[in-house]
Amino acid sequence: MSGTVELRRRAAPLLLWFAVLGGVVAWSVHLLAGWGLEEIACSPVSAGPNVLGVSLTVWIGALTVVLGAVTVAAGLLAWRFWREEGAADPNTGIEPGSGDPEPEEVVRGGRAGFMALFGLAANALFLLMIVYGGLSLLLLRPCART
Amino acid sequence: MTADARAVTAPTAEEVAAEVPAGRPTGWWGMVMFITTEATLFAALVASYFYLRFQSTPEWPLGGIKAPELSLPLVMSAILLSSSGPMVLADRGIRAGHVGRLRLGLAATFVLGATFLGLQGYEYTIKLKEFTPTTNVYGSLFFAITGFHGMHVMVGLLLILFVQVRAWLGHFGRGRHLHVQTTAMYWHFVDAVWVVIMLSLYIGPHL
Amino acid sequence: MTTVAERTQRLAESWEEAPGLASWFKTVDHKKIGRRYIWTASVFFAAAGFEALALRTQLARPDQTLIGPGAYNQLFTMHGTTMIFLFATPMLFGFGNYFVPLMLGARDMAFPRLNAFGYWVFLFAGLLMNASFLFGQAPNGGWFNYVPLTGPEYTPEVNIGFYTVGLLFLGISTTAGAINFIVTTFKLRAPGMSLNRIPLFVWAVLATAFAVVFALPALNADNAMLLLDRKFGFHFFDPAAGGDPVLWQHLFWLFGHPDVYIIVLPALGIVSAIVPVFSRRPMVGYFWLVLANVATAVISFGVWVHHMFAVGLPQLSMSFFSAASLLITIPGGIQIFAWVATMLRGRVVLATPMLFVVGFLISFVAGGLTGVMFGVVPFDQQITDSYFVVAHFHYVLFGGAVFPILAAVYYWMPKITGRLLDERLGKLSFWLIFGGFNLLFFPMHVSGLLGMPRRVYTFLPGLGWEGWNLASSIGAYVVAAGFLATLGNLLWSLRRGRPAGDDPWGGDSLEWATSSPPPPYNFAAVPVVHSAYPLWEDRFRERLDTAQGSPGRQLAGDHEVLRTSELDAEPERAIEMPEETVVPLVVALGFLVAFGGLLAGWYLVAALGVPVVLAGLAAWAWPRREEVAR
Repeated sequence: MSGTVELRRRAAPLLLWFAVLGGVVAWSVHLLAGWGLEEIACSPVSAGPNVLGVSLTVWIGALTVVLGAVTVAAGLLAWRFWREEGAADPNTGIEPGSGDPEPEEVVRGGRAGFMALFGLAANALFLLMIVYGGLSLLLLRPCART
Repeated sequence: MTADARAVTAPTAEEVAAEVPAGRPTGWWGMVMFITTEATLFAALVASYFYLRFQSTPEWPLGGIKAPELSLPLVMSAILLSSSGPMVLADRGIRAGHVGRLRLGLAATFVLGATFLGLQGYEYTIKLKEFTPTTNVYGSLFFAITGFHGMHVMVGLLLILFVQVRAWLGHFGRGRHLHVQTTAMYWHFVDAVWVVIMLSLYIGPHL
Repeated sequence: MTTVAERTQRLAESWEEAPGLASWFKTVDHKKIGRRYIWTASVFFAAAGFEALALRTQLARPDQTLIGPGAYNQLFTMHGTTMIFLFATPMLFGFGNYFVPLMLGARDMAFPRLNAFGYWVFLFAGLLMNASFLFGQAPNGGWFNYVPLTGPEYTPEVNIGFYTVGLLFLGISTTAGAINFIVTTFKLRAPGMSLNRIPLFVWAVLATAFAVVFALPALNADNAMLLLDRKFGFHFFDPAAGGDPVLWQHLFWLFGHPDVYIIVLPALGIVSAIVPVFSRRPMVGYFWLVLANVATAVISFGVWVHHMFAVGLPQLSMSFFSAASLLITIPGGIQIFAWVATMLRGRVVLATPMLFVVGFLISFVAGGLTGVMFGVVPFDQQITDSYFVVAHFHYVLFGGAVFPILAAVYYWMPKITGRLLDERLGKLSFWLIFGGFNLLFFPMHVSGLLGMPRRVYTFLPGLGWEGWNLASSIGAYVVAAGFLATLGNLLWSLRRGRPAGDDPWGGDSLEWATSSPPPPYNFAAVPVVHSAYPLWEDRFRERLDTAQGSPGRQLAGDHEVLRTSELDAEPERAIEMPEETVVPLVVALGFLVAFGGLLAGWYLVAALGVPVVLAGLAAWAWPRREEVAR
């Protein structure tokens, strides 16, 4: 039993980092994988707009859905963590006050809440970009050039 | 049982806010950042490899060059990757204060790494009979990427040598081993890059 | 028990560097190195400025023959290359070098010797590249150096060698500086300065440094491949042998787009440092500004193809990059709104630094607007490679970097020199530069839309471009006059400026808590902060003064700095910083010999540089006697 508590204790801050950076990593993968797959599918030597027999549209659609879901998960986690750290106003602990010494937990909680809020906003932005990138699939024929 | 189940669920706010990472020395972060930038450099080179590969005719390698034979590179891989073992021994050893394990581990890593380079040199003599960097872009990519990796191995060997000299002079002990740790990090990085090169340049053309 | 006075004496002695010429070559003090970056970058700025004046003089009228096409190509290439690589980033790294440790409450950067090394490499690489003029063979393929023009077939001469080798060399400095900023920001913050209390200028430099770590390798790979193609017969960019010239473009812009943010983000950080002080209130939206800085740095890696919309790539791939290019305006816009909101809700003091900030706001937003237009592929394909592009990037680069740098000069030079600059001359300089800048670059939007291509050494009459070009050329001279006014102001202030005192502006961040200029040890005691605006906390100075009474806060051991934890800045331990040493200079010289030999094709000479570098690095890494004894 203490083993699982220990595991949870060690995983907890990593979950916070996932909440902060999940969308960033998901979008990066979406961009690079999507672009890479497209270069391969649309290269002069490729038989059709597909990679390994699967159509480019399916690949990019799948990437968008999966990585979008990862970003949503990270965002939900960020929301949850922000609420747990007291749903603090973003300026808490940042604006100048009396300058009296504060307990460590207050500083730490403020910093963690800041990170969670950051993750919330970042994941929203990166989800938007993943969706925009995937949306273009619906509007453009694969491998069309101007 | 239900008490356990609850314990496994939500982490507390305090646990989430625990400071991770924390407590790393400046030299450790310096090596992490250096490895990050070098890894990006290898990523750019390997991405260029794939970019050029999929631009070309379906034939790869180009120009009638044979796909790389695998037996020697597999041996080289086994040697290089296993060299991380003694390096871990050295690193863990000195953390516990065992200078002997440090020296032994470093020596073994050095021998394995040098063997890898020697075999790579031998591989080059064989390959150069078939193609050179100036034959076509496949040749350019092969020699540039493996050569750049080889240079990193060389730098790694120099680092190991340097640390070994200092180990014999008694510079390291429990609580005084940062340079061993950073050298080990660099060495493991060089090994990891080789895995990527092995998969991309050697095994890839056979798939 | 030592007294405060005894400890202060020890502190001063352990941090002061020996006076004299030898010390000039051995310094590891971040303030001296920062000043050197600033002055050296200014010299390169002047050189690139003269190049621009030459270009504009040639283009003042159609069909002029003051400068022939070959020389013109070298001038515009070096103008761009020098401004971007030898002025903008080094200048901002210079301010970063000086002020990041101060704003963090630290006594130096995390790696002082690496800092010195970075400066020497910058100096040598810049001199190496500009030495090309002595041979009349300056780089001439444009600042982004496209193949096949710059490949072995079309430019076999050494011009491009100066470019590839010079930038490979310079890249070492930029990367070293970036790593230093990252580790300093992670580990040397004042206790209490958790992530959410780091000054916005430092956040900007941190985001920039990460961008450098990920972007420079693409440029280095590119230049290395071109070097191999040109000098050793490789075929990376040779289509006849399976290579692809478009690969150069991908790798270049994979670096190049983040690079423009590497230039702009620290400048925006300067704006974030100045706006609260001159609006007399904390920043509205600190959180949003941190988000915007980091998001911009990240997204900048996903837009590079927008520099290649006219290359014939598949539409679908262009759309990924178009999406990101349009959405990167969101964090950009957030920063603007935050600054404007702060100004509206504060009481703005329009001193010269703030004037330059206002000039920045107007110009950068204008440039950003035309930038968004480029994100729309069909429009981009119409005005690609025209003067419209030249107008856009000068609005964002001059507006986005030069104005903030000038603001920083007026804001921070008093801290560096201890003397205030003259306000009236400052305001005159601002109006000359702002007015001249708009006269210089606004007409280029028009001439671009009228079809004038960029990089042409002359143009025919009768196309309707004459008036716009003449206006631009006049504007260039007005701008030059404005810079002369600032230079005169600086020189005057060194002699006759009023003493600045610790805090002439009523600042909020830690650099204003110490003297102007700061003592070698920066702070007599380690500051403890409880907000992102420490100087505006109640009784901050009193508490800092009282802290000198405690040896643990004064940290008067041998050259000691306090290491704190990465996220929450809790004190960890005191670490000892290295003394001044000539080793970084020696290693930089070794690299110079290696790169210089490579450039000249004297491979034996180049090889001699290698043992110098290795021996130097061994000396560098060799522990000091005290370290071994411990």
